[in-house]
Amino acid sequence: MNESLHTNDFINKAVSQYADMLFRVCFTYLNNVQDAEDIAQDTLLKLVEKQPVFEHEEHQKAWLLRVAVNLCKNRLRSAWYRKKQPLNKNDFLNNIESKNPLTSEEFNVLLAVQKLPLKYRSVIHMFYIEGYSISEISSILKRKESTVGSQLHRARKILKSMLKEDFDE
Amino acid sequence: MNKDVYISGMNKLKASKSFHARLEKSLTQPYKQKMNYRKTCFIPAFFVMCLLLFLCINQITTLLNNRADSNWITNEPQASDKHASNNGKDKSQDEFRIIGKSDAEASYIAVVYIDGFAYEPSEWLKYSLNLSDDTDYNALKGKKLGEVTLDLKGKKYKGTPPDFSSTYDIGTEIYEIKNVDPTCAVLVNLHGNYEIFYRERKYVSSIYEPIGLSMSEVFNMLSDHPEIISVELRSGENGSWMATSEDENLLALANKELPQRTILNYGEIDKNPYDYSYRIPLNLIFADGRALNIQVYPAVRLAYAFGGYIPVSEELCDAFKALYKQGSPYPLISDLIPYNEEQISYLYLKNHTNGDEVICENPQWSAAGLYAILSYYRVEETAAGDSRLVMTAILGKSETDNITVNFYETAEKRIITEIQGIFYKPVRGQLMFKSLDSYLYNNTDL
Repeated sequence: MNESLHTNDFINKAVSQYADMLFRVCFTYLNNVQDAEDIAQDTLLKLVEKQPVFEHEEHQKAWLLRVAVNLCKNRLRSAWYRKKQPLNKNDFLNNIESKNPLTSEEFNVLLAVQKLPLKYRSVIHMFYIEGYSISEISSILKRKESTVGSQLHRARKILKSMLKEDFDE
Repeated sequence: MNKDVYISGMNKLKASKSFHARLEKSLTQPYKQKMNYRKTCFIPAFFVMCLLLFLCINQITTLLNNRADSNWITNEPQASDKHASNNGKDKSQDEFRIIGKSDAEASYIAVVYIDGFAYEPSEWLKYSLNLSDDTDYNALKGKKLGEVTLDLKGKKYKGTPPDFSSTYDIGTEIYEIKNVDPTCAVLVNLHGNYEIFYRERKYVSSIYEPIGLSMSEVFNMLSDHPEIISVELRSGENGSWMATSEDENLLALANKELPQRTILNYGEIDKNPYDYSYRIPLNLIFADGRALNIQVYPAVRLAYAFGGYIPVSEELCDAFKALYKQGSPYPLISDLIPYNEEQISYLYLKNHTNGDEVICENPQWSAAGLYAILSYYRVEETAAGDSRLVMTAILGKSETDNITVNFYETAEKRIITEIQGIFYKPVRGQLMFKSLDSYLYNNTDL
């Protein structure tokens, strides 16, 4: 895939194809719409600036996810971000309800997932939303396959206790 | 099916339309133009950063020149007033203000005022109530003393802060500690986590106002048996324990001299314009295990204690200096590792309790958290005994140039460390698995 990165067509395509995906993964990490939009934008800016050559679209998607995850982690590590309050139900509601109405069931499940420790919700996101295998998640998140597997298992277990029923059966 | 509900909910999450418009606009700017824009932004930003850095250094220098590390909160005159008072025109203000290394940090200073005294958590005094790291603080909870009624966070206040005012939220609960007089310490409920706050100093309206207490009064306030039975040398870097002295000469001098001293004001040290950065952090340990932290400044023969300064005789100063020079007979765990923190560019971690393992993507950053633990505990050799492996850290310059550090948990839930076949246990304090687990959670992807 050796497309010129400076053409409007390419950029429009990248925005329409990946902006929401990046926004969602950033939201999973940051729990905040404004921050998620900022990082999604920075990620696409990196794509334009770095001009990497991709072998195929999946390669490009994985690259973008990896960059977004790294930028999110940098944001989470910044001193001022650590001072922020933990997620509470009202903030979560305010953050997302203005964008798109969710059913109460969807809201409760999303809230439960977003309340998981970051290491678990990132794995849940990659597995269920992006559709990656454990091996692919291991490569994107730079964790051992066995670790990803056990984190996925533990995340499901926690979700089961939070939601009072199995997450994926 | 929660999985399907989750997927449909997540698919509804979309970035706003304004975001899409903003994104397309920012991305379709010609690349060079974007870079030029960045350069034009960078130059003024660089100057602003230089200015901020200068102001920061200036502020820190001023703070270092004016106060000991542990004393951040006072009713200090404004800079112009301070200058005036140094010229003999002391016009202290009524206005209370919280002073920290920066405004942001000042807003987070942990303090509770009760009865005109400031209570704070203290790394210096850790273990002074004969508590261990695995103490269930919830079980220590005694009678409720009250709760925070006035939030001082980021605010100015005229006069003495009233009882139960704090930088913590209104409603924060304050309890007695069982078998500990509240004149020594209290327990504060911080969102379900209980933390000990020690009575650290008396409130005064100006740094030039004498504290108005004798050391004897302070000793009696903190302890029922205020005879100094040992002196602990603490680390100036992280407050950790270094050595304990029961030297008879030192104790005799301290017991004779210190109770007679009256605590002078906090500005006392400013009278000596030379370098007093060399300080010796010490804990005076009383017969009932209670402690008072003092910071001795040998160059000016003053010691910071309980909010102000006391003069220290040359003889006692020399005895403290001798203890300081001896240092610690025990190594830190980090001393046993042939790489310093800056050299770490490879870090592998395994949590044996759940099998998770990771090669840290950012080893410098992750190693910093590990070194904070390893450079806190001083250790001595011990036997492996009945213990189980809970964590392994392989750290070093590369995958081939490194050292393995194994952490074992004993039957008593204490962590012992194994390096090159030798087991070590902390001499003072206990390393617990929860600290390692918390490290893995906060500093790595595990």
